[in-house]
Amino acid sequence: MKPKIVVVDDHELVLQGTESALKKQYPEAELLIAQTPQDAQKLVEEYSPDLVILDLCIPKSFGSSPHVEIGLQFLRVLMDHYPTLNIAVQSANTKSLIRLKPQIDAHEGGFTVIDKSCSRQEMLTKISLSLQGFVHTPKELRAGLEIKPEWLEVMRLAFEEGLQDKAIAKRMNLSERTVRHYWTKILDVLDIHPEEDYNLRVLVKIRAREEGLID
Amino acid sequence: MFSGLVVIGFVVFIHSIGSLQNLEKLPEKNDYLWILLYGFLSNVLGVSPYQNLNQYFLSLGVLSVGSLVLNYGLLSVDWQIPISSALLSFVLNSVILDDFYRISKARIQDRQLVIDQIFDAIHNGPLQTLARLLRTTKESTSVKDVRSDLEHLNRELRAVYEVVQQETLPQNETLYFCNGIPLNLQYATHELLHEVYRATLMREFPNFKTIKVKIVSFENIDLRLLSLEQKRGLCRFLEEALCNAGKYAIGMTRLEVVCKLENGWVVIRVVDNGSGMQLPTSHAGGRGTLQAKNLARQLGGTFRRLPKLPHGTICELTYPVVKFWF
Repeated sequence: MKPKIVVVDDHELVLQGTESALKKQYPEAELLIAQTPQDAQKLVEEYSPDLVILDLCIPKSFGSSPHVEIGLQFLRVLMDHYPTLNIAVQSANTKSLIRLKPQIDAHEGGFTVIDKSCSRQEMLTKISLSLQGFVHTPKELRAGLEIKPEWLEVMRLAFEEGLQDKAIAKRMNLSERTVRHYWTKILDVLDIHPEEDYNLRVLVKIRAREEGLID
Repeated sequence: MFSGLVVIGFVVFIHSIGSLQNLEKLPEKNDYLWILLYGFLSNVLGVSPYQNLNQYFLSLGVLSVGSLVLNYGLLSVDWQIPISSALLSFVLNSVILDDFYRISKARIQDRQLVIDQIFDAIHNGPLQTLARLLRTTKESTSVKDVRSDLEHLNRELRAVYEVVQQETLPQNETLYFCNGIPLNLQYATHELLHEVYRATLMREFPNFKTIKVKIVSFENIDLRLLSLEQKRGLCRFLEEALCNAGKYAIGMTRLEVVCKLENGWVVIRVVDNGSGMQLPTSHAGGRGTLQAKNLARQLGGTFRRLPKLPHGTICELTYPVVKFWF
């Protein structure tokens, strides 16, 4: 795999850490570094990367002081302009993402949140999930079990009527890609994350039944 | 009225000076009568009810042109009237008076707005706590529960002053919840509503504790631009609808909160599966309902609260994405 990854961070030490970890995991990856939202957007536009790793606390321009609001604003722009872009957000305070929750729910690319205090291994796991288009958000972002009506309908059609994704897409008047994307959202909401040896759909069915989402 | 008289006096004065310079034609009593007549006509015009400002200026224009035509007609029978002075009196008076009426009307509206905001702040905060307190004392006698609610009530009532002060500041762009969370009204409406949803669900309502699943959807609905006041109204509506579910939807396990576009309409809907329409009958015309109905009318939409089968309540506010201008 030869992924193109844009890393947006202004902190030298953090940047070095992320870079060395990425190089070890993806020796063939093409790493592009940006320190400000403007530079980052140019890189995304030019290279259409497979993943953007974004630190929320970034400066507006070189030399100015970094601020979470600037990162949040840039994240909003990214999700607006590139609805299928895979994103991994790095932040010390993941709660600040709550305001963007509706937009994160609607975003159709991979989306994971990396707590800055987490281990390197955990960071790499989140990056790999996002690269594959999966969603992994911290629990603070959700107020209990929150699910969108469309996701519920996907589960109902799959588990109560036994439909396949293609048929679900047709029934709901969506693209098959969107239905597949809904499944990644459902996995995250039900706190199921890809692991070897497990059939994810079966896990979803079990969990959804436990939670009373389906009959 | 006073300003009207000042204008008339001013025009009479100008007219007499003008006439004195032109010694061949001294001002006659009739001249002053005309000026006075036009001055008072504009007063009548000013106090008449108008749907909008355009109608007002239209009638102003029609009367002015009419006067000119009348003047021309009278000239043909050798009747000369001081039309310029009279019209000056008429137009000046009308414009100044109009400003006067608009200012006083705006003041009355402002005062009404402040009264409404005070009541909203009390209604959505302390009164809700009080209702819960009354219920608690009826069902259990735990002094600890009552005490903590009383302390909460105390804090909320004391905060009302601050809340209202913040909300009435000129060009204020912040909405303060009863639990003190500030919200910037410049945010996108669906983001605001999402924050309201989160903040309200954190409040201590017994029926929130039994919820297992929340079906939640907040989509961008800002295709139609709303004023800050309307956004504030929508936030209050959602807060109120959720509070009602928290209070009356006993045994609720599922709560649906939706804010989205449906066939050209914005829909904001709260659905619970609690024990049905538990709202007291007096609530049908309650403050919350009134607020919601007013807001719906203002947005050209509708507000409904109806039972959901087999049990539960649907509370819904809808308004068209495209604003109708009639």
